[in-house]
Order: sequence, then structure tokens, then C-alpha cells
Amino acid sequence: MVLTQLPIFVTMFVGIVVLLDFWIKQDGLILLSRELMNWGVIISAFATGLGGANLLRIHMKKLQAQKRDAFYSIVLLTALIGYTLIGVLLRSTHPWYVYIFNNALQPLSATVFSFNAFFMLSAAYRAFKVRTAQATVLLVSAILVMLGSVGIGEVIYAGMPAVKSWIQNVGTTAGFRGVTIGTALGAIGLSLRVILGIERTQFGGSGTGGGD
Amino acid sequence: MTLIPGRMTHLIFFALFCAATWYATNRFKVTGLVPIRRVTGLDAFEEAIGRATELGRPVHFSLGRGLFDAEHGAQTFAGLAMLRHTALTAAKYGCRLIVTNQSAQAHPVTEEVVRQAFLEAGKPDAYNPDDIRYLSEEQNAYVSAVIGVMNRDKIAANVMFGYFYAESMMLAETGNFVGAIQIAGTANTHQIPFFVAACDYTLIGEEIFAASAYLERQPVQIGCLTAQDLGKGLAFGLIIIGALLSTMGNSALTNLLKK
Amino acid sequence: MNWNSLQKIDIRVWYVLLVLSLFIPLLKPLGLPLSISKDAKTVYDTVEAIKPGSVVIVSPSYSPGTEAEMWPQHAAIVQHLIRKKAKIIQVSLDLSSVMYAERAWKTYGPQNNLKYGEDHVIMPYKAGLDVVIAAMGRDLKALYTEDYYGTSCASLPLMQSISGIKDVALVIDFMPGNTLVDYLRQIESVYHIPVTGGVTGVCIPTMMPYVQSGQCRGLLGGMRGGAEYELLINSPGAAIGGMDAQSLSHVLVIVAIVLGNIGYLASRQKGGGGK
Repeated sequence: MVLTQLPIFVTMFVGIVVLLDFWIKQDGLILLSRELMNWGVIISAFATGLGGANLLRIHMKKLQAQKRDAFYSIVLLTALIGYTLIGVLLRSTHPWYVYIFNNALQPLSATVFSFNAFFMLSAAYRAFKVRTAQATVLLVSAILVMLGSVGIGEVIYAGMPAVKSWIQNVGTTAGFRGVTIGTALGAIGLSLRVILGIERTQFGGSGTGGGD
Repeated sequence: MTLIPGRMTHLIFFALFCAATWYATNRFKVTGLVPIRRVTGLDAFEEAIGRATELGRPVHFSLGRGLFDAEHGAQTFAGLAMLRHTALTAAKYGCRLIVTNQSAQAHPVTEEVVRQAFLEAGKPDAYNPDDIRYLSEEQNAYVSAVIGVMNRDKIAANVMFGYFYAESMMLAETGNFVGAIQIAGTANTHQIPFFVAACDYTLIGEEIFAASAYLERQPVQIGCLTAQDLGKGLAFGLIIIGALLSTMGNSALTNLLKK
Repeated sequence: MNWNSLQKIDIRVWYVLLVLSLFIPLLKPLGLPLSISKDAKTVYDTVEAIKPGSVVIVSPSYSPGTEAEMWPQHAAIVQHLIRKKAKIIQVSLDLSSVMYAERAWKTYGPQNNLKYGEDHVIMPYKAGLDVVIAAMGRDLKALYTEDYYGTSCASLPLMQSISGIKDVALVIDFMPGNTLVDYLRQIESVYHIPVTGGVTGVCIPTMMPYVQSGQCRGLLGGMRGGAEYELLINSPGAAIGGMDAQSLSHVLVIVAIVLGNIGYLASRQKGGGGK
């Protein structure tokens, strides 16, 4: 009973304290709220350590079982343990740390991120078809925004950046404002249910507690 | 103890929201639940997982960024509700479920959610903790790993619910390339277009928060949905009045909302 | 001709064309024109208006994946701030962004005879995003007691010269995520410190409501925003160099869309389902 109810109580307590801190100026409340938020940051840091431990466990298991892709587990473990030790023992200002960041992490990240360009092209080629009136509007506005974003659009028509700005600042922004309002209300509703212990999925239980 | 200046309006709106939720919930217990409009993406769940079961290939689930802070938390919770539903359905059909996590914070939570779902479905032995994988906090490392998972494990259904950044496009297109049926949902406005372009079914914005209410149909969840709709109505009214007043050079409403 | 086949071109052909469209302009620039947007000009004017000696917080919040869009903006603004003789405190909200803060300092600090600790300080990474930003507003000096190199802030003249966020003249954030919104929420609306910054291209519509309401003083959007700012400060860099490549690649995407639609319409005319 205690094990199932305690997390719900903790969630409720922390949620209500931080919520009240948003509106009420009271020294004790401010101190408590800040302390709880600091604990949140500390828990996140421990969770990162837990994640690292999980990675170690999974890949050590793969190595022991000598699975097909065990070589890649060796690569991962070497990078994980090696870079962590360099950061912890030598600090992130050490030339080795900076060298690995600039010559391994940064190019790899940029390369993977650049997949977006290729995937965008294939998605546009496949999905941007004039199937319906709405799809046609989407297609035309996408083309206008793409042309307005780059120099070649200004060569075609000097007013293209203004067209692009209008589409982005008026059409798209209006749509996003509506989505943002709806999202904010949805987030409030869900957060309220989580704080009050009505939504309990995160504890592995059924979706709603006895909140009705 | 004093009220912080500039937050009175927030407090009033929040109080109204809570009151509307409470009223709607109690009313529904008496009158019965109001119908919710169809959300095609949620109706397609059974189809997607059924297809994966027939093909003998796994289902992949991603929570996106998976953090529980102020910015990401609500969407992560919404994603967890969908994860539970996905796990229940996968367990029911006897389909393998692979969950990849980008966040170490979410990893133990997803493990527990999936384990409980399999237990609830009466298939505790089918739960495989090695299929719940924490990959990397680094976005691009996570994407590379998931692309590998999708291709090697030849997933048949890809479910993505939560807060996504640029990985949305890459995950969705990879799902397309492997021939997976894809259901996605995010409230992150700048990633919604990518899901719409690349996925078979997309839940936009607040639909992901309504998902658990749509699936479970509990009075308190429907009550929250009703309060959200009333809140939108209020926002709509304020926008119209505010736009008219601002056009006439009157900033009374703007000043009132700043209190 | 089988027009239907236009929508079935092997995607690898398009990928090769994309690589060529990006690569060729980098070798041989096309010199396409580039106008300055109102929002970029507003950012420029905001930085231009600060007085010499003002303290500015620069917050790179990006990681290597978005470096191509964000670094040119970051570099251009740091150069402008140095010209305005502003004192810069760089804070990092992303694991990798502190490396970019250091890169900006090492690239532009010594060459302009700036002294670390007096003219420029780099703060270490702090986890928590909006929690950190809120803490920055409440008590900046309590949040950062040591700089990135482990030096006590009490011994840094720049940190000694301020008591808190109220002594900061401007906050500039570079975000691929939502940190700029958090700065607006936690700093601009609470302490009324001007906030501006740059975002990736996809985030422009998300930030527009804040720009249009005046909460965010202008906005640099994507690589184009960086290129516009480089033009404004008359210091061409990576962004201007990349704009021609971006132009050609956009044209390629448009060609792909058009051909795909020709194939689709042809298949519809024939009575086929089309894709």
C-alpha cells in the first residue's frame, strides 16, 4: 500500500508546492520550491548515470554472448568509458577532450543531422502531391517559402522574400498559435491529472487511479 | 504571503479550468459521457499492431526526447499513456515490442510501464527487458541507433509519441523505407509538419493529450477534455474581443491580462 | 514517354543530385543576391543600441547537429558585441554548447585584445534548461560560483561588476529547441531585460508570435539569418558561403516535387491510383 501510494503522494506534494510558488510570494515556499527543483536536477544527473550503467550491462552481455555485432559493442564501451574518464579525470577543458569533441563527436553529429536534407527530399518527392485542394495549397506555399528563403528566389522575383515572410508570419504563425493554445490547455489538463494522482501511467499502473 | 504581481490572470484561468473539470466530471457521472470525435490515428492502433503480428515483425515505440522537465514533461506523460496502450495491445496479440529511449530519466519508467502492461495482459513471460533500450542522450547518436534497430529488426509498425526535435524526420522516413505503418503524435509545432508528411497517421498538438481519454473513456479524463474545449472557447472569445479593441486603439484587455 | 515513371525515379538518383547541388556552389560560388529581413535588422539594431561597457549574456544552446545554422549567427553576434565593446558572459544550457562558447572566445577574443575575466567570461554547463534560466534571473551570482575553467567568479572583474540579472543589458540566445521561449518567460517578462536571438529554420514560425508581440526583439532564422547578420556587420563568413548551396538544393527539391506531381497527374489521367 505504502509503496504504491508514496510516489503518488510525493508527486502531489512537489507539484502543489511548485505550482503555489508560481503565484504566491512567501519565503518558506520559495526556499522549499527551489530546493525541490534542485533535487529534480540532481535526480536527472543520477538518471544519466543509471542510463550509462544500463548501456554497460546490455553491451557487456552482448560481448559475453559473443553475438554477431559484438564488435560494435566494444567500440561503444571504449568510447563511453574512455570519454567519461577523460572528462572526469582531465576535465572538459583538456586538449584531449576538446580534440575528441571537435574531431569525432562534432563531425559525426553534423553528418547524421545532414540526413535530414536527404530525408526531406525523399519525403517531399513522395508526399507533396496535388491529391486534394488542401494538399495543393500546402505544395504551393512550400515552394514559395523555399524560394523566398534563398537568393535564387530573389533572382526569379524580387518580392519573393516578402511573400515568404507573409506566408510564415501570417498563415503559418496563425495556425501554430492555435495549435499552441490547444497544446497549452492539453498540457494543463494532463499535468493537473498527474499532480492530483489521477493519471498513474508513469508508475506502471492503469491509466487512471480512483480519481473519478 | 502575497500574490506575485502579473500572475493574477493565470491564477483565475487556472481556477476556472479546475472548476470546469470538476463540474464536467461530476456531470458526466450523472448524464453519461459525451462523444469524442474520431481520431483516425488512435483507431488505427489495432490495425497497425495486428499487421505487425501477421508479418511476424516487431513494433517500435519512441517517446522522443523523453524528459520530464517543464518543457517536455506533459508530452512525455502523454507518450507514456500511449506506450502503455501499445504494450497492452502488443501483449494481447503476442507481438514483440521494442522501445527505444533517448532519455535516461524515462528508461526506468518505460521499463515499468511495459512490464506492468504485459502483466496486465496476462503475458508476463513475454516481457523482455532487453527490448527496452536506453540508447543515448545525444540526439544524433539516438537517431543512428534507432535507424539501425528499424533496419535490422525490420519493424512493421512504428509508433512515435512525445516531444520530438529534428529526429522526427529521420525516424519517420526510415520507418517509411522499411515499410512500417507509422502512427505519430507530437505537440511540438515545428516537428508536426514532418510527421504529417512522412507518417500514415498523425496526432496534432493537443490530440496527444486527449489520446488517453479517447482510449480509456474515464469521466475525469473526458471532464478534462471538456474543460480544454471550454478554455479554447474562452481563448477564442478573448482573441476576437482583443483584436477588435486593439484595432480601435483600446488596450484595456491587454492591460487586464497583464495583471 | 511514360510520364508516370517520373514519380518512380530511384531516390538514390535524387540523393546524388542533392550532394552535387550542395557541393558545387561551395567550390564555385554563384554570388546570388541576399536581402536583409526586418527581423534580422531588428536584432542588429538591438545590439547596436547597447552602450559600451554593457554586460550582455550570450547563451549558445545548440549542439553539433545544428552547428551549421547556429554557429554563423553566434559568431556574427559575438563579433558585433565585441565591436560595441560589450562585456560578454556566455552561459551554456546544452552539454555541447560550452564548446561553442569557448570557440567563440578563442576565435574573436585574443585577436581583439580582449582580456578573459574582464571583457569575457564563460560559464560551465548547467542541466535543467528552464530551471537554470529561472535561477539565473533570481540570483545569477549564486548560480555561477565558478567559471568554466574552475576560477572562482569572485576573482573575475566582470562578475564582480554586476550584482545580478538587473545589471545585464541584453540576453541573446541561440536555440534549436525552446530555450529562447524560456528566456522570454523567465527573464524578459519577469525582469524586463531585452531578449533576442537566433533559431534554426524550422523554429521560425514557433517564435513568430513572440517576435510580432515585441517580446523577442527580432529574430535570426537559420543559415539565412546568419548570412544576413554577416552582411549587416560586413563580415562575410560561413553562412554567406553556404547560401548558394542552399539555393541550389532548394531548387532541386522543387524540381523533384514538380516531376513527382507530373508523374502523379499522368497516372491519374491513365486511371491508375498513383502514389
